[in-house]
Amino acid sequence: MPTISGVTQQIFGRKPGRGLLLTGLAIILAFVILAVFAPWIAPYGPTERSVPSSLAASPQPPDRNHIMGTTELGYDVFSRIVWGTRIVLYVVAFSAILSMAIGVPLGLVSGFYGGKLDRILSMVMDSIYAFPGIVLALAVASVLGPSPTNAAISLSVVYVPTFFRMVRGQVLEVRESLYVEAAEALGYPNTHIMLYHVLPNVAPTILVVFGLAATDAILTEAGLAFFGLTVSYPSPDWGLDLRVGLRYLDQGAWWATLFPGIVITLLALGFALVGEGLGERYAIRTER
Amino acid sequence: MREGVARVGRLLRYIVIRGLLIIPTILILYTLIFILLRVIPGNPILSALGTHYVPPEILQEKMHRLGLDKPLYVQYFDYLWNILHGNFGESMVIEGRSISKDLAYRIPATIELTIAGFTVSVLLGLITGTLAALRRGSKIDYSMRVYGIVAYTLFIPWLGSLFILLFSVYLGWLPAGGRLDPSITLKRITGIYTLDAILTGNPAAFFNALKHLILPALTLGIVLSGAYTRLVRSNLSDILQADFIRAYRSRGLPETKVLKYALRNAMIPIVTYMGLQLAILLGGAVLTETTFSWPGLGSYLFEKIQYRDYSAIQGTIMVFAFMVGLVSLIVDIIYALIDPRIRY
Repeated sequence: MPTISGVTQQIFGRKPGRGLLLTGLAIILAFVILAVFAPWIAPYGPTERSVPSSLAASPQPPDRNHIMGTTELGYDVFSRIVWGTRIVLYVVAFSAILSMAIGVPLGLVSGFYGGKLDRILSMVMDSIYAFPGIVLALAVASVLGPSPTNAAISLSVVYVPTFFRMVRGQVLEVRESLYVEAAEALGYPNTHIMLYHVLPNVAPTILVVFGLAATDAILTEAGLAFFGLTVSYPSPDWGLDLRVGLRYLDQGAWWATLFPGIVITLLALGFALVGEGLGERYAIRTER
Repeated sequence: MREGVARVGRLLRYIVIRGLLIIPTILILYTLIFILLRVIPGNPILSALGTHYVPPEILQEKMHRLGLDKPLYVQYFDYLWNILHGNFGESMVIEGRSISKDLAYRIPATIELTIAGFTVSVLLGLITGTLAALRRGSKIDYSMRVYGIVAYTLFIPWLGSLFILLFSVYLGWLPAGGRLDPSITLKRITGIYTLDAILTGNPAAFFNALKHLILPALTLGIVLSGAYTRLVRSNLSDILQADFIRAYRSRGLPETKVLKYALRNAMIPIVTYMGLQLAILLGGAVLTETTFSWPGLGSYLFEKIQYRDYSAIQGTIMVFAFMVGLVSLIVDIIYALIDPRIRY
């Protein structure tokens, strides 16, 4: 059973990948704080007209009251980023957990029992995996209709195969090991072996894949938002704000695209560093 | 001579077998998309038209026209049969509009962008990865590692917007979107404009098309290069430690020659990766096209999603599926040709 001191030891202990892991976790934590304390951090509401109506017809550059400028409708860019964090984190967390909750058990069972089911499942998962993720997510989301929950479901369709393939591959390896053979010889039931002998050994891989899938999911979520498939404008979402900002780029309104883009990349980088750090610690090589 | 003929024959057999293997992949994706589009809550035509009410006889007529009144399994095989013949049906929104024609017009634009982006990403990856591998543990190595991670996390429309801002809005050097200035005339042959300009001997059109291609290709290429940086770095530095490299060096072979042999050996895993990467490349092209108003499949998908034109969306997805299948076939063939361990 992992204890709390065991977990802190895992994260903070002087092991390879510590710097990467800590930096990544710090970035993610900062965004979680933004999301939780949005009403106190954001100076304005996400759709509050925060400039005098005489100025509201065009985006205004950053100044003392609007540290990241305003949009064409007079919304405060910084406030929208802060509020948007909630949507982004919701979609990404929901989809990462959902695809893990489906992909891991499927990979576990499929790899453990093998046979016909395994072959069919693997073929389906490989086909989805080979397809461009964002295109698939766009197709699913456009069918389900624009909403954060639907966006999360669409992302899960893309990332279930990622978990499935990694876990299945690991299970095939672990399955041949002595301790699994021993457990079988002792007459433990299959579910017991899977949960107590196979799963713990696959856990580090799951964590690394989680980091990588979340990185990808943030960028894909931003893509869905860019296509208008997470929320409808003027609700705030980074990717959508960036697209709206593109229209004012030729007027030189750099702040409306620069800042939403920075936070997308920063959050993606946070998860990438966590995945990278964990990969280095457990010496797990991934396809990426 | 006879040995050569036998070799070509074996290669052809290998290609055919590999080609047959992509059929299940495409069928699975087709089935998935088909099921997906049939679970849309409500009537797809109503939602495509954006209304709640259409007179029943008109709705009936439209359903009939699009073949949506047939039993599901008939629709499944009908549509499959049709797309195998290059017929992607008719738009749900604009009556009588052939989706195949739209797609055929846009596919070359996506191919042009994808090839250009691919070239940029491989070149950048080779340069940065080699720099890192040659000075393992140095500051250059460290910064290339950071580049490898950060490049991957860049959001394509964001990087694109930065380029537009710098090179189009401020400097005015390059266009912010499109494929060709309206003032330029170019005879369309393949639809790949830079190639068409060469074929028709039209330098003005060539340079104009190239100017439009630079920013989108750079955007797509940079984001995808990160993975190559890391791959080249780790493979090349492993190989540079190998015995045969030490043997070359001890024989006094110039360092550039040594690097050439090392790179050649590092290429095999990189080519494998190119196959995996192409799906990501096509996905990235969708966002790049939308950012730069590049009239390819990606911006087509963007338009059709805004209009909820489900038959056009379905068609576009199927074209992507075919492209992925085709590309993985090509990679398999290249792989068989360069890796002596593969028997065919």
